[in-house]
Amino acid sequence: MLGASLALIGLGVVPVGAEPAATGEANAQRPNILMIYMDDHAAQTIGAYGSAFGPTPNIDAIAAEGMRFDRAFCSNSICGPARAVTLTGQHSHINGVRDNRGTFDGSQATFPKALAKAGYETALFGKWHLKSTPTGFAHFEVLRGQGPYYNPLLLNENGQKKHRGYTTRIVTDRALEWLEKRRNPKKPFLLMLQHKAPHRNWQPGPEELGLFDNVVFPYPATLFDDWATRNRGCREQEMSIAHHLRDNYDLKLAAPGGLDPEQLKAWNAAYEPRNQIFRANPPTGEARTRWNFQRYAKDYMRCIMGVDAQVGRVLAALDAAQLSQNTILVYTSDQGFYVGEHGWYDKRWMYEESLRVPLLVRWPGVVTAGSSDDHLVQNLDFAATFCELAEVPDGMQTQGQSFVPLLRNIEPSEERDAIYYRYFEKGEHNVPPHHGIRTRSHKLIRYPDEDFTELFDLESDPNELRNLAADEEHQTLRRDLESKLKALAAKYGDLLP
Amino acid sequence: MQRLRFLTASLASLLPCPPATSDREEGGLWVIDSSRFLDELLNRRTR
Repeated sequence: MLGASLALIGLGVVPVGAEPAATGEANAQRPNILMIYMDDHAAQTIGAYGSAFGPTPNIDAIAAEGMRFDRAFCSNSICGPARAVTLTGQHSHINGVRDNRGTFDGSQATFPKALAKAGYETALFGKWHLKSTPTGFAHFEVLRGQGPYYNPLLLNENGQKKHRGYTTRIVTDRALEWLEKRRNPKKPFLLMLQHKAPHRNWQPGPEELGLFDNVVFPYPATLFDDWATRNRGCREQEMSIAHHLRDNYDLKLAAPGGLDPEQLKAWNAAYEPRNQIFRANPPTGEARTRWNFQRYAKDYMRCIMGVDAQVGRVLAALDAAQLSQNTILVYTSDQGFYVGEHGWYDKRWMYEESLRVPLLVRWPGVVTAGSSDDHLVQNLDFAATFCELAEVPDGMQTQGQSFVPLLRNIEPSEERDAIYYRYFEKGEHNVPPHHGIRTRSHKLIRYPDEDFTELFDLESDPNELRNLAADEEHQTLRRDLESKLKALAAKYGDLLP
Repeated sequence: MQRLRFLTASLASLLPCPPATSDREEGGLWVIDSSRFLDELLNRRTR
């Protein structure tokens, strides 16, 4: 771990949030920040982003009252690493969490610590998933590891407590109790509400078990992608809707463990009638893939709708406490996800569906309601952004760029022309390590193990089906993007294989 | 307006094929074509 800021000089690290400010109670007018942080929530499944699965009315309300970012991305599409980047504003090779095996070094600088030092009361509820004990929070209640969908154990700074019920609701209950009764009202707050949903294995809550029963979900155009022209890993992956969803665990042909008798009864009432139809005449081939997709996508969306209902409760609670006006509400996810696109579930790849994250920001009086922004932003930017919003006096060393100017509808002094991405993990789902850059119009991805390159024109080929890297006419563009990739790796201090 | 938005979005993402035989047990209507269901979802707005 890099302990000294000296080591960061030259690695694209810049101090941010250095606007002069007093600290503590003198700054009670500084805005509160409430971050709703999802796990694997694909932007394309949110109504405000044009979901083909219907509206998500409460999440959509944030977009209607705030700003929707249309080019927001992660920098390493997997849970632990994405969370570490979000907290530190440093790429994975700097913050030390390169893959899900990594343990977060809580001694390093994070934005919750910076805000706490600047007088904010900080609290965290829900999924943490960084193995080490949370630091920088005056209070936390977090799931152990991935945590269950039902009846979670929440760890806090003094011990742990078992709760009964659906985790999405419980985590919201705990956060709202803190918001309404436990925080210090004399201080501005940072509240991080981090849901487990909609992470695998997509167990719906009791209120959503029957939702979508009588409709059919549209199939993505690339459900039967043949992965022609792309890297070998696409054909060797183990995350396909057709072959890799587990019957009982993922597709709910058996009830999950951990439910109490009442929960199990409700679960079986919802799933068993359809499971019996399936067992009587199980579809095969393409029909089985379609059945898998319907079961998977509906469960995924049921989890989303469970969160959506809780988002409505949060919005109502802010209104009731007269906090809406001075609270910046951020809705985002650690990374995106495949909901059948390219024939897949899961994440990891640098293709759009898992690279892109939803990002909605409501800031009454500053952000224009119902607006959108198409600048390139990343989870790398949250630390810088929050430090600027909180007027952190000494700033924080990060590799990101504050997107506060974009919220204020001001053109940034330095516009990013490409984002940098690197996926390190080699293991689960058999996705090969890769790295690349994405500009506003193109994407270049390198697969070092295979010595293979992909180049996509995102304007003419938004589904990334035609790899142009070997085309004669695109060689100049390829060389330009390769140079840009090397320059960005050097800027961030990453040593590419 | 919101319903119109989703119907428009559905055209953009239109599929290679209509509901297949295996979809019949699920109800046979695309989610985006079901006005009643869209209303049901919109009514979940709790604020």
